[in-house]
Amino acid sequence: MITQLSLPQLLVCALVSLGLAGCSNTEPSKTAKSSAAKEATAHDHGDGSGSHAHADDPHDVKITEADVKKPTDFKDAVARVKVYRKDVEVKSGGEVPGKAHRPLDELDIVLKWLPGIARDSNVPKDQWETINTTGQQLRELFEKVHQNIDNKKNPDFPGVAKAVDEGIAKLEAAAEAKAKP
Amino acid sequence: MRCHPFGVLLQLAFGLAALSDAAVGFRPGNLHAHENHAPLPTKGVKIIGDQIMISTKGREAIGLTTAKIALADMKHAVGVNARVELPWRQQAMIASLVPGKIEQVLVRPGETVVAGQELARIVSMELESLQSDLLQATTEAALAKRVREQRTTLDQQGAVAGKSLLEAEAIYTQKVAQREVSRQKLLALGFSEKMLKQILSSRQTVGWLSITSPIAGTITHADVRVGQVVATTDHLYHVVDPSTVWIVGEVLEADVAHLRKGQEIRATFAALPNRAFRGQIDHIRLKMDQRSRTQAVVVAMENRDGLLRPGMFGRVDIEVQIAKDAVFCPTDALIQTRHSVYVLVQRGEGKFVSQPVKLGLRHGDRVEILDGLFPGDQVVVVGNYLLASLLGNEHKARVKNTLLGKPPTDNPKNDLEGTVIVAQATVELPTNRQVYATSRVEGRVTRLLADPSQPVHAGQVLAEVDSQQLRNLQLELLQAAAQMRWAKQSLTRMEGAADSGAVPKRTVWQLQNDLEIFSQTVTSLRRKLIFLGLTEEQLVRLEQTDLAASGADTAIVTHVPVRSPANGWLVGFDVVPGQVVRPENRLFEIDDLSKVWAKGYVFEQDAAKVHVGQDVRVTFSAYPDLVVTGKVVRTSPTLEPSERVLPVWIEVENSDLRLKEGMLAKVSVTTGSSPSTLTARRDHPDAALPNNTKGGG
Repeated sequence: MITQLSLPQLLVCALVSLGLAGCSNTEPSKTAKSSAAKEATAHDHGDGSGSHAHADDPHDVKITEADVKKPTDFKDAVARVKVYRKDVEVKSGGEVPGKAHRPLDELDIVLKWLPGIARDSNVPKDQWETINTTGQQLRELFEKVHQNIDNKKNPDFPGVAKAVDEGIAKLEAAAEAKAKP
Repeated sequence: MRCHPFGVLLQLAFGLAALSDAAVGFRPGNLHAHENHAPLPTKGVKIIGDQIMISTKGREAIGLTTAKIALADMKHAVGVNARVELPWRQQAMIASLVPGKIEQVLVRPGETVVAGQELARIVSMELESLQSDLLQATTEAALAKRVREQRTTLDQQGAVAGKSLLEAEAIYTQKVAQREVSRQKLLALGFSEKMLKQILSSRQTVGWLSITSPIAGTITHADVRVGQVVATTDHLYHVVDPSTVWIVGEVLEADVAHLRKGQEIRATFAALPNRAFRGQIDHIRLKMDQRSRTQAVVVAMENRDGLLRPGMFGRVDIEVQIAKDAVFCPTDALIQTRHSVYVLVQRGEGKFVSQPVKLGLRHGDRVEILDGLFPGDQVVVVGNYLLASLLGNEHKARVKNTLLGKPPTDNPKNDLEGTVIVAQATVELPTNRQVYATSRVEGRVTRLLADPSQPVHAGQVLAEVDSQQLRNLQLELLQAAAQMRWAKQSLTRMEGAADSGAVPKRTVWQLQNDLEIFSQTVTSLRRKLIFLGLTEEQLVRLEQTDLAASGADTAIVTHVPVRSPANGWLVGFDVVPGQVVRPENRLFEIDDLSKVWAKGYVFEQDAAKVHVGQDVRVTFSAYPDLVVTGKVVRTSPTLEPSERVLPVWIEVENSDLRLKEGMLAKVSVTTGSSPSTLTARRDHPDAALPNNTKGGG
C-alpha cells in the first residue's frame, strides 16, 4: 500500500507522531515505482539504512509463485528444499553472494507451500504441526541470510547451517512417517 | 473488537504513527517481494502489503494475544425428545393351543418367569377328543395288523381270496394313518413322546394342557381367570424381557440430514436425574411422523439393572457431526468481511499476515478450519480487530473470496424460464411401491426373521406362523397320499386278476374310482398347501413319506412362512412372537423407496396454469442443499375442497433413500415450457444436469 501525503499533512503527522509515537528514525518513504521484471524498487527496511533500492544487484529479480514449479508431493518438496539449501550455501559463500537471491526467493515460496503439500500428499496429521513450525523456522533462518545479502553484509550461512540441517532432518522424518492405526 | 477510551486514543496514535511510517512498494497478487526482510519498527506499527509489523511496546499496549492452532475432534450434537420402548425380540404374547376352560392360573402379573415355565392349565374337549382318537386308532390299528397278518398267512395257504387280503391291507393302512394323524396332532399341542407312551400304556388321558412361556421375563399382562373360556386366538399373557430396551429419539425434520447409523448418543431421563446412558444409533426408521414432523432413531441399550422402563420419557443428544482430527481455531481469531473470513497469523517476532480461511464445523467458541491454517500457526485472538482496522479497505478488496461456491440466489428462476408457480409439497410414496406381507393362515407368530428398516427381496421369509390348519392339511395329505398309493398297488394287482377272470370287473372299476377320488383329494390338498406357502419340494417330500415309518413327523412343515411380495425396505412392523395373526392382518409394510413422489398443492387461482409435462424444481426442508428438477407427471382431476388446492405429482429419484414419506418440500412449477422429458437431481445449486436422463411420468 502506497500512502502519499501533502506537505501540511506530513508536518501535522510528524508533529503528532513525535509527541505520541516517538521518532522512528526513518526518513519519509519515497514513492514506489511500478514494478517491471528487472527494475529496482525503492524501499525502506526501517533499520536505519534509509530508503534505498537494490538497483545495483542484477540478481535480485522479483518473482511470483507462478515462477516456481510446485513440488509433486511432500517428499519431492523436501528434496527440493535440500537442493535449495545446497545452492544457497554455495552461492552465498561465493564471490557474488547476490546470486543466492533467486534460490532464497524460490525456497521461501516452497517452504510457504509446505504444509499444504503435506496435507495433499496424505502425510499423517500428527506430523502437520512439526512440518508447519519447522517450515516457518527454516523461513526465518534463511531470511537472516537473505537480509545479510541485502545489506551487503557477510551472508553467514554457516551460522544458520546447523539449525537448517536439523530442520530439514525433521522434514525428512515427517516424510517417512506412516499413519497411526 | 474490544474498545475503551484510552484504547481509542491509542488507535488514533498508532494509526497516525503508521501513516508517518508508511510502507512503500505495493505489489499486487502473489508477488514475492522483499517486504518481509524488514525488521520490526522500534515503535508503533508498520503496514507492508498484507503484513503488519508491530513493535514489542505496541503489542504490549494493545494486549495482543495469540493462540495456537491445533488438531482436535469436534462434535456437534442435536438434542431431541426420546422415550423407552421394548424391542420385538424382548417380548412374547401367549395364547392357548386349544380352546377350553382355564382350570388353574399359576402366575400373576409382575412375576418373573423362565422359558418353558407353566403359566396356567386349560381343560378342553378337543384335547380329550384327540387323546381318545389316539387310543381308539391305536387299538384299531393293532387289530387291523393282526387281521392282516392272519389273512396273509391264509392267502399264502390259498385259503382266502386275494381280495380278502387286499381289504385287510387297506383297513390296516387306514388305521395306521389315523393313528399317526392323532399322534401328530397331540405332538403339535406340546405333548412329548414320553407322554404319549404313558397315555397309550395306561389308557388314561391327560386331563389338562399346560400353557407355558416361550421366553424368560416378567408377566406384564394377564387376561386369564380360573373358569374363563378361551379361544386359540385370545392373548392370555404378555411376557417382556427388559434386559435390552430401545431408546427412540424423535429428530426434527430440519436435523434429519445429519443422521447416520452408528452415531454416538447420550440419553438422560427425568426419572433418573443422575444417570446418563451412552449408545449408538442402531437404525433409523424409514417413515416420518407427519403429525410431529419428526423421524425416529432407535438406540439399543443394555438394561440388565432394569433402570430403564418402557414408557419412560427423556432426552437424547445425538452427535450428528464429527470432525476427526480437525484443524480448529478459536472463533475470536476470525475477522469477517462481506464475502470472506480471515485471521492474522504470526510470521516471526512482531510480524503478522492476513490469511484467508475456509470454515467448517462450528461448535461453541471453536471452528474447524478447512483451508488456510495448519497446526502450529499462532493466530491473534486479542487485538486482531484493532490491527485489522489498520489494513484498510484495500486489504478487504484483496482478500480472496473463500466462500464454498457462489452465494445462493433467491431467484427460483435460475435454470428455468417462464412464470413460476410455487407450491408447498410433501413426499409421497407411489401406491405401486408400497406392499404388505400377510400370513395366509390364522396362527401364532413363532419367529420373526427381519428387523425394521432393513432391505428385503421378493420371496424373503420375514416371519413364521405356526398353524394347526397347516398341520391338519398336511396330515390329510399324508393320509390321502397313503390311500392313493394303496389304491394304485391294489389296482395293478386287480387288473391282472380281472383279465384272467379271477375277480369281477366291478372290483376293478371300484378301485379305479377310489384311485380317482384319492388323486383329486391329493391335488386339492396340494393346491391348498401351496397357497399357504409350502414349496413343491416340501410337498414331494411329504407325499413320499410313509406315515407308519419312524421319523415321518420330520417331513411335516410346522410353520407357514410369511414372505415379502416385492423388493424394498422393511418400513416397520407391529407384531411380536406368540401373537395370533389372521390373514387380514397387515404384518409387514415393505416400501420401495428408490423413487418417490413430491405431491404439490397448487392454489386454486393457479390451478389452470399447471399441466403434465411442465418443468418443476423441488427443494426439501430436511436437505437444503438438495435440488431436484423434473416434470409434472400427474395432476388431480379435482381440487381438494377443504384447502381449495390442486394436487400435482412430480417423480423424484431417491436411490440414496434420503427422502422419506411425509417430508416437507417445495415445488416451483414453470408454466409454458417445452414437453421434453428430463428428471435430474443435484446436490448443489450450480451442478450440471445429466444428459439424457429419463424423467418421471
